[in-house]
Order: sequence, then structure tokens, then C-alpha cells
Amino acid sequence: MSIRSAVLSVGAAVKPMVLTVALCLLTVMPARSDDDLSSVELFNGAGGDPVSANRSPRPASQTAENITVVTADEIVALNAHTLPDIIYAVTGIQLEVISTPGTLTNIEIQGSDFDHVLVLIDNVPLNSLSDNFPDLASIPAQIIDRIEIVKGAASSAWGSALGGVINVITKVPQQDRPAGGTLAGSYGTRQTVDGRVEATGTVDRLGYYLFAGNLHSDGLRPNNQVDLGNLYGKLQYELPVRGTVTLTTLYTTRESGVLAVPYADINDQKHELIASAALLLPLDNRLSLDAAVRTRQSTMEMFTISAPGGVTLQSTRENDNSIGGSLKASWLGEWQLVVAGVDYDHVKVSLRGGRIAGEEAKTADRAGIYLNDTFTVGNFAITPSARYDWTGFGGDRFSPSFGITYALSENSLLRGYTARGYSLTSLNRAESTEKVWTSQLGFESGDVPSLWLKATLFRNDTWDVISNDLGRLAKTRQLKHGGEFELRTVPVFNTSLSTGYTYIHTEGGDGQMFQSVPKHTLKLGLRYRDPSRLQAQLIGNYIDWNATGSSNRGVLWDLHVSKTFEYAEYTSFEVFGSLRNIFAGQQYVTDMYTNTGRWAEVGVRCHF
Amino acid sequence: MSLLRLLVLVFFTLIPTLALAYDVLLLQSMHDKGYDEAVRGFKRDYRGSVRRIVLTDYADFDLTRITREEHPKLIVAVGDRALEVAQKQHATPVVYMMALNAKPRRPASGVSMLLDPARYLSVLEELGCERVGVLYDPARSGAYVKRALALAGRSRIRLVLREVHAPKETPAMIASLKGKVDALWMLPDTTAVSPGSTEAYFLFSQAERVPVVTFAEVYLSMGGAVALIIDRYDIGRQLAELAQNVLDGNQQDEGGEPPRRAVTRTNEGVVRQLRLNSLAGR
Repeated sequence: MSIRSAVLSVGAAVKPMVLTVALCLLTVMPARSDDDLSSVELFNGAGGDPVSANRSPRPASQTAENITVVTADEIVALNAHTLPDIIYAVTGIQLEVISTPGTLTNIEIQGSDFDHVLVLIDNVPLNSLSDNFPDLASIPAQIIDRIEIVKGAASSAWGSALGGVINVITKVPQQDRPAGGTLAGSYGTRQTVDGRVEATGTVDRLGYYLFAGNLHSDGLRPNNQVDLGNLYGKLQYELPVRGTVTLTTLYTTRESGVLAVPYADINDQKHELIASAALLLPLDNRLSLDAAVRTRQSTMEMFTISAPGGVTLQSTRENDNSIGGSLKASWLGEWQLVVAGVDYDHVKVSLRGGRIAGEEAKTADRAGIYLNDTFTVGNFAITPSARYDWTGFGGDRFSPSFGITYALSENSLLRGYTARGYSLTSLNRAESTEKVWTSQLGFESGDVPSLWLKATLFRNDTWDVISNDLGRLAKTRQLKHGGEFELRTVPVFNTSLSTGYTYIHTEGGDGQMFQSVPKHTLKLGLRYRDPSRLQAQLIGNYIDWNATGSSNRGVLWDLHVSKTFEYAEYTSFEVFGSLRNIFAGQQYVTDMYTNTGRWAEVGVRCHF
Repeated sequence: MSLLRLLVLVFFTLIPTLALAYDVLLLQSMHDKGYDEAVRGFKRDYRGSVRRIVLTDYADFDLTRITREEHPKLIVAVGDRALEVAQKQHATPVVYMMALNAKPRRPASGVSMLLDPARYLSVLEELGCERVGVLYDPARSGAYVKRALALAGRSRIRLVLREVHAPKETPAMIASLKGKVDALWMLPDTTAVSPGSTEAYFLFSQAERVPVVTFAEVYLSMGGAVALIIDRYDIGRQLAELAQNVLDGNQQDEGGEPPRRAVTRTNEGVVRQLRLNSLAGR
């Protein structure tokens, strides 16, 4: 795709966006004259003491685990379509497949396998039951308020989470007005069109957040087209006594192309419903209860179709049904926080087609109890935790963890964390529980003026990892150890820099290195944001996959630009554009899944 | 064996420990002498542990993460932006002080920067004024003025009100009070009082020979007659009491309490020039 054709595609975007622009402009009102005299100036007179500039990019995180948080502000700056577009920029995360937005992709955390990562949305696990695959690409970015990523085993809190957790927290209803919303539309290369509508507000005690979106693309790689539709709703009711009831529902439907192989295309089709009802009940200032029921109903079909010809050669269909609930009590004492809880899920998976004759179905009851404690002694914060799981088919699992932090100063600390964890990588395969012992040692500081630094050494010793590299299933031991370094700066001339580097050294049980684990991962970010609300962000991504058939020709550079025009207190109009993979670099783990080439899009967002 | 390990862990976690975790996260909008004074007052009377974070020290501040990781029992917001940021999270109760312009997302308890209007009316009565001009922005000070009107109805003072919706309207509105008032009452309202309009109050005062009763000492040197000033240190102490009540589990009234202490300062030169009743001895 040349720049010229990209520009032409962008030019063609004008027509479908006229309606959105017109709707936006209809809602604008005369700007209200803004009062720029602060209360400080009012009481002290103008020309008082100057306000200090930012001394540090961010405060040091006080947890023992290696956690990265992506906030709503960062999500908007990335012009993201779905969840993988957001975590693409996070240090230590590797996308195995860089594909058309909305289509299937695999992610790794610090070189973990894709089925070692637990992905939650509104506390409902997204991972499929048959192979623990989390379909991140079906989650629209717009509904996300923040993402919390735990790197390394997190089984003492979450159960099956060998490689880490991606916890997606959705937006809460806007509280200060009865109605507001956003209209957004974008158009890009290969008819990549994304239209989204949000409505949110609070009336009396009832808050609502509603979202509808549709993403279409003719495909940025061969046979990688997509039609993704999402509906999302959240209702939140504040109880007359203290407490909140929250209902959430996400419905997803998708048809997409996954892959083109010689003489055949592989496509998928999916329908999924995720719903939860949660009660948060503070009993007093110290004790609070969280109770939730949840369900995930998913049907996913994969088709192999002859090309040309369009004859279905093979199809497989997986139905996942899970229903369950959780109960959690948190007690905040004088000296410590104790969290205890229980999770229960009844799961059922049925598979039809493929190499299996007829239908194979399996059900299981899963339960887990956990106890997490945090207490502080002087400059030390100590976090012992444990969880016991009855997995139903993967044996009973005890997952302890122990974390400790030492505050070197108000904004610097040392952290250590060790944990045992596991992942249930298949409901249908016997003895498919893979295990890990994670150890991490880290340092984080915001004390160097204008800089924030974070460094982590990690060692993930996994065993019983199911491998079919040699054409037969085998259980192997894999040791992945390495280091991760992150740096951010405060804005200078409205521009800040961020960078993250991850090095992973791998060894098998026999001392040999094994392939397809990213040896070097580099993330670069340069962000410009000025008071007139013009912002630009340049993202660089480099992965050395250390695999035969992989390619790592250059850094993939993405540029995102946006300009916001304020019209009134609550009304603004934003024009944005993205140019992805600017220099058409190649970066993939296998040539079966080449990454997308250069592509561009423009769009508008109207907040009212 | 696993259950045994679990029991050991339960025992371990419930052992009382000597710890220094903090109870109150004090979130301050920025570095400012007035805010610092209020914080000193708070720390004087609040005996629990406090961590103070000044928002302007950080380019990227994530309160949700801090509350989740450090579990403060209460957030004390100092300043408008601090209150706005504090109310974006739901996990921890919030009390506030020194927040004049904030529009709380949810009702919250705190100590306001607005003295009880009765105090001003009392000063105006002692000065011997009957017709008092007040400029205000209904969006900012509407509720305060309503309370002042109700109180004025019980005294011999009559408030002559002028609404302003933008700072530039202020001089004309002051001019419209010519011959109709015996005094001007300057409210801490950033629409009615701004760098461009402050002079108009004192030019009117000189021309009409009426005193200006104001809320900050800085306006005395410009020609104000009397200032009824908030005591920031005491506001901090007042909030410390309120915070302790919240931590003790007592239900608090929503909205800002008026500061309980005020300091009166006069510009004796102006008082003499305008031949006003003296406020000496207050």
C-alpha cells in the first residue's frame, strides 16, 4: 500500500463522515467565557507564588507484583479500535499476530504462551474453555476505562493465570449530568470503517452507560476481512444505604477471515454474550462485601473454505457456557487489609466437527477460595496470599504467593515477588494443567528529577507445558528469565518520552534454547500534547522473535494525531488520524501470519 | 497437607502486627501558601497517619491505583482539582477544604471557603449601612446569595443584587448601583471579582463614598474598608475534626460547613475617610 493510495483512501472518507460531522456541529453551543482566575489568585491577589512544575512523571506503585496500568486518557490517544490496539504499546506485551483490527490475535506477556494469560472484562473471564484462548480482538476499545496488567503468575488471586492477567475495567456512568454521549466514526485503508455511539448519564441514583459499535474492514492482510458488532450496557444503582448494584452486558457478533493458506481460506464466526450482576456493599468503614453472578455464552465456528471455489472443506464449532459467581469480603483494619473470597463456576463446552466425529461435550464445576493480606511494617509492605482451587478436571491446585516492597524514599521502592501458579490450557484434554514458579525482583523510582524508572528481573520456571513441536504431544519444562526496563519523562515543551525494553532468555529442560519466544522487545513512545489540545503520539514496536521463518525488519512505527475543539463546558469535537506501520516494516513470528502493512485512517469524535 | 498450609497462612495473616500504614491520603491540588497553612492546621489536630501528595508534582497521576494499592481510609482533598480527582474514584470516602470553584460529582462533606453570610451582615450593620450592593454569578454564588437574602430579611439590611455572567460585565453592573447603595459587599466569586474588574469596586467606593466589605486582606490595600478573612489554619483544624468523625463511622452532613473562625481586618484610613462606625475591639 503506497502513501498515495492511503491518502486517496483517506480522501474517500469525507462522504461517510459528513453525517457525523453535521450531527456534531448541530449540538455545539456558543462557548462559555471561562473564568481563569483561580481561587488562590482570588484570595491572595494575582501574581502570587508560581505553581511548581511536574517533578516526576508518576508516583511509584506500591505493590509487590509487576503491574502496568493503561488509563482512559492513554487509550484515547492511541485511536484504538479494539483491546489489542491498546496493549500493543505496553512494555512486555507481545502480539503474535498484528492483523486487521477486530480479527483474531494472540498475545503474550513476557513471552508466556497465549493460553497462559487470563483476560477479564467486568470480572468475567474471556478465555475459551477448550483451549484457554482469550479473544481480545472482540472487545471494543471505546467501552474501556482502564486496563490493569499483572505480569507473571497471578494464581494466588485469580486462579488459572500462569503468565499474567489483563483486567479490563469498563467505563462507569457519567455522574454529574443526566445525559451525555459520544459519536465517533473513522474511515481508513481497505474500507476500514468504525462507527460508535455512546450514551451515558445519571438520573437520581441510577446511572447508565450504553454503547453500540460496528467495525468493518475488507482486510489489511489476505483473507483478513472483518465485520464486528458490539452492544454494551451498564446500569449502576446506588442503594439508599451505602452500596452499589451494577448490571453489565456485552453482546458480540463477528464474521472474519483468519488466514489464507494455499488453496484455502480459514474464516471464523462468533456470537458471544457476557453478563454480570454485582453488588458492592460496605457494611461499615472497615468491612465491605462484593458479590457477583456472571455468565459467558459463546459460540465460535471456524471454517476452512476452498479458494477459489468457496466450498466448505471443514468446520468446527465450539459452544462455551459458563455460569458462576463470587463472594469477596475485604476488611481494612488498623494495620492491614485482608481480602478473602470464594469463586464458583459451572462450565460446559461442546465441540463439533474438525477431526472429532460427532459432538464431544464436557462439563465441570470449578471452585476456588483465596485469602490475600497486605500489611505494612515501617518501610516494608508485605503481601502473603494463597488460593486453593478445585478445577474440576485439572486436579486441585494450591497457589501461594509472597510479595514484599521496601520504600527507599517517598517515591522509590524495591519490590520482590514470588508465586506459584497454573493455567488450565484445555477442558477437553486430560492433564492439561501447566504450572509455573515466578520470581521477580524490581526497582521503581520517581526521585530522579523529571524521570520515572522501573526495572524488573524475572524468572518464570514453567513445567508440564504441552508441546507438539516434534509432531507429538509432549510435556516440557521451560525456563524463561530476563529483565525489563521502563522509563518515562515529564513533558518538556509539551513532549514526553517513554520507552520499554524486555529481554528474555529461554532454556528447555535439557538446557537447550527453544524458539518462538521473543528475545528482544522494544517499545518506544513520543507524545506531544499542548494546551490547545493538539496531540500527536509516535509509537515504535520492535520484536526479535528468535524463530525460524520470523521477520524483524525494522521497528514498526505508528503515528496518531488528534485535535480537539471545545465548544462548551460539555461539548467538544475531535478530529483524529492515524498512520500505522509508516515505513511498511515486517515483523512476525511466522510467515503464515505476516503483519499488516502501512495503512491510514481518519476520523471524528464528538462529545456532547 | 494443602489445607494445613492454608490454615498456617490464615493464622499468619491474622496475627496483629505493628504497622505504619497510613489512614488519610491528603491530596493537594498544588503548592500554595494558603493550602499549606490549611494542611498544617489539619495535621495539628488530626493525630492519625497521613500521606500527602501534591498533584502538580506528577505529570501522570493515577488515584485509582493508589487507593487500590495503599487502601487509605479517607481522602482529604485540598483544592478544587484535588476534589475533582478524588471524586473520580469510588472506593474511599472524600472530605474537602479550600475548594471554592469545584463542582462536586457527588455530595461530599467538607469545610467551605465561604464564611457564614450572617457574619458579613453583622459587620455591615455595625458600619451603619442599610443598602448593600452585591454582585454575583448565579452559577457560582446563587445558593450563597439566597441564604444571605434570607438572613438580611431578618435585619435592617437590604441587599441590592446585580447578576454578572462574565467578568467583563462587572464594571457596568457596579456603575448601575450609583446612588442606590451605602456599601458594596464583595463576594469570593471569580466571575464578579477578577483582575480586570477589581479596580471598579474601589473607584466606585471613592466616588460614591461607600465602603467595600471584602473577603481577603489583599483588597484592603486597594481601598477596601473591612475584610472578613477566613482562617486557613483553623479550616484545617475544623476539617481534622470532621475527618475523625468520618473515620469513626459517624454520618456527616453533605455539603460544605462554613469556616467556624473569621478574622476581621480594617483599613483605618478608609474607615476614617468615610467616617464609618469603628469596628475596633472585634
